[in-house]
Amino acid sequence: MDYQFLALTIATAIGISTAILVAATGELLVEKVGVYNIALEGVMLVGALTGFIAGQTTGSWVLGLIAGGVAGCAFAMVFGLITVVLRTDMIVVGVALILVALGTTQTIGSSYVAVEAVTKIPNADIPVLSSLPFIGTALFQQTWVTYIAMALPFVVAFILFRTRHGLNMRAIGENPNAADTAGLSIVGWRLFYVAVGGVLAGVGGAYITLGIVDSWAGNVTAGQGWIAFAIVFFAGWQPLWILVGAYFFGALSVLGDVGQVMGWGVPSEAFTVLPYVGTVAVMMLRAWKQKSKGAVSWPAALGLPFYRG
Amino acid sequence: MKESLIDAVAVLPPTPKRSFSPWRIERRPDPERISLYRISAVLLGLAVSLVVAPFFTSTPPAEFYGAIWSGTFGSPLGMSNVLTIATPLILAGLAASIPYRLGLWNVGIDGQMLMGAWTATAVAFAMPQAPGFLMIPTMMIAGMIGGALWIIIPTFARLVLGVSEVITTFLLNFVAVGWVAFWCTGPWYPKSSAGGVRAEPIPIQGEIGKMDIQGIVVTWGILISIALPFVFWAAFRFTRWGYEVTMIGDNHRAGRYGGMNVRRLLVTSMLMGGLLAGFGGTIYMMGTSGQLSTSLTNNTGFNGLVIAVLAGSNELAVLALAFIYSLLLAGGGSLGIVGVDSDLVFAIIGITLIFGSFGEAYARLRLVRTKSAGARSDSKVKEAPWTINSSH
Repeated sequence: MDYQFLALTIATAIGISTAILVAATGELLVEKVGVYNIALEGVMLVGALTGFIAGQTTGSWVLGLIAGGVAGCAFAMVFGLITVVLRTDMIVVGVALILVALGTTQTIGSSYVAVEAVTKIPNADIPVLSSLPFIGTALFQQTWVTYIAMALPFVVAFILFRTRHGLNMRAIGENPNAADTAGLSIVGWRLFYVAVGGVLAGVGGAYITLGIVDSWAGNVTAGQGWIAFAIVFFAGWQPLWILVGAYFFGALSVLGDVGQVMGWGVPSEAFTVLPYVGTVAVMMLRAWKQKSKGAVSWPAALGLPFYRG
Repeated sequence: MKESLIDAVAVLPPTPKRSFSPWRIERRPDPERISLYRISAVLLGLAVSLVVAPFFTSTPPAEFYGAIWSGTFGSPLGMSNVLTIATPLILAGLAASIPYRLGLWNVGIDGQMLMGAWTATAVAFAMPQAPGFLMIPTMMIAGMIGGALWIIIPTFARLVLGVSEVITTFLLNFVAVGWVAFWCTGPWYPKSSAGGVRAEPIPIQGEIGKMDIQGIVVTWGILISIALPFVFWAAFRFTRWGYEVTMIGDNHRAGRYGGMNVRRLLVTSMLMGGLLAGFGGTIYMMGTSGQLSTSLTNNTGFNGLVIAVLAGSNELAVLALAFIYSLLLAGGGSLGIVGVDSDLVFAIIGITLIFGSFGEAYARLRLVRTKSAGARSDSKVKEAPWTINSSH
């Protein structure tokens, strides 16, 4: 494998991981305050279609991404209102919303199938750095969204672990009763972060239709929402591990294709399955290591509805 | 690290509380008739979404409803479809319902169905010359074992390591799809490929027979599917296992004080879930598809999970809801004839479920007018952990 090919492979892996990375970072924020939005795949689908339609009508990918984010936010808020305010079960509502997203996007988007995008997110070569041999091709010839997505986990890590705001977030996810006593509005914070997670998942979805496949098709996200959901667990709720997980899982899907072309003799299914096997294995290993310490890696109130008292 | 975090919160200066609305949501002290509210809300949601749905399409409402009618009750073919869809769906509903009685989530039914069907296929290919009376029961048993094996790791992870079974069962679905895809594209690649990721069909004597009741053609697998909810309904009332599961489902601690082995019951009910799912996948493959494929389950598992939650630990309600659900899926499938994307039915089901959630929320919660901060009454009634005779 020559170096140019390797560099291009890395560049592709980073590029297609962007949507997963953005969505997973959003999901991390949601889970840190104690909610898991299992409808992530649905939110991404809604964002993908809305972003694509907005891109087609306005001809601007920026507006497309914004529209995707707004739609994702609105759709996630449905989830938030039902689960956080009305305290119903997150799994059932999540499954219901995925079905709604699948059905409505398929129906509304049927006239956009196999239409080429009029606007695409362009690559933005970083001056000087992009002309470096190998590294330049691999890392610095991406879109702006990809660069921002790379920085996102660092920003989230800073907020979570270095600010009072982040301390409050973690408190709400770990012990909502204590946080409530300290005067934080649990429902308000949770709703806010469900919305933030929805924006990020919607932008991630729009990035798929505007930046990766450049077209719309039914179920275009093809499980990327599930992978993003799995990455949060894989990462053990650590923002920087989200970065590792997203690029690792993104690389795997590229490796599956590369392996086919190069004739490695490894079935491509091995690469598609590895993220999920890896996540389950990592979760079990971590739980096994922490069992003796009596600690858990997930936010202690994850998935539990909040009642005062 | 955890302790320090909570200490830190405790010493934060309390922020003055701002109340944005004069209303507050709180739990009803005596939530009753939850399933009544839930089912009525589901039916209301179904009615609303069915009325609204045609307006999202360019099809005239008369044709829209005509297609749904002829796809269900309106024709023998429609009825055959409904029953064919119901056969694995009832089993998937049970596969979720039985662990759910103990508060465990089986979100991996699709994977267990696929693995059951895979194991059954492997057995059939291992004895291609065996006569049908030998092959059919062997395949069925193999399918049950395959499904049960696929839930062992999540069960172990939950009981020994404390890892949530929601995530592990769920993620293993994708692993099962990959595994089946590998066998369909590799060792069992069909001699005559007909699109999709499908395996070589199982030997003809391994297929289960079909009945023809006045034009309604369906495999006799439906008889097993209809019988099993009654079997479990009876088991939960008349056997020791059923009594213990019901008891612990109501109150883990009471069961443990009563000398029950909670851990063993959790394991058996999870394995029972996997076994039923595996059986469902197998019976569908042996009766309807005739070959293993990655699209074999077509989200039957998720639909089963939803049915189980709506049915609320009642096996006969699982049967009824699975039938209604099958009507919807079959009716939605027939919408393609009038040019409507058949996935629209997913939206109808999803919106129906959201109505159901509202119904449940209404049964559990109430809106109260907030008084001045000092005079807030706390009406939450704390149930003593040893209370056994709870209302449900």
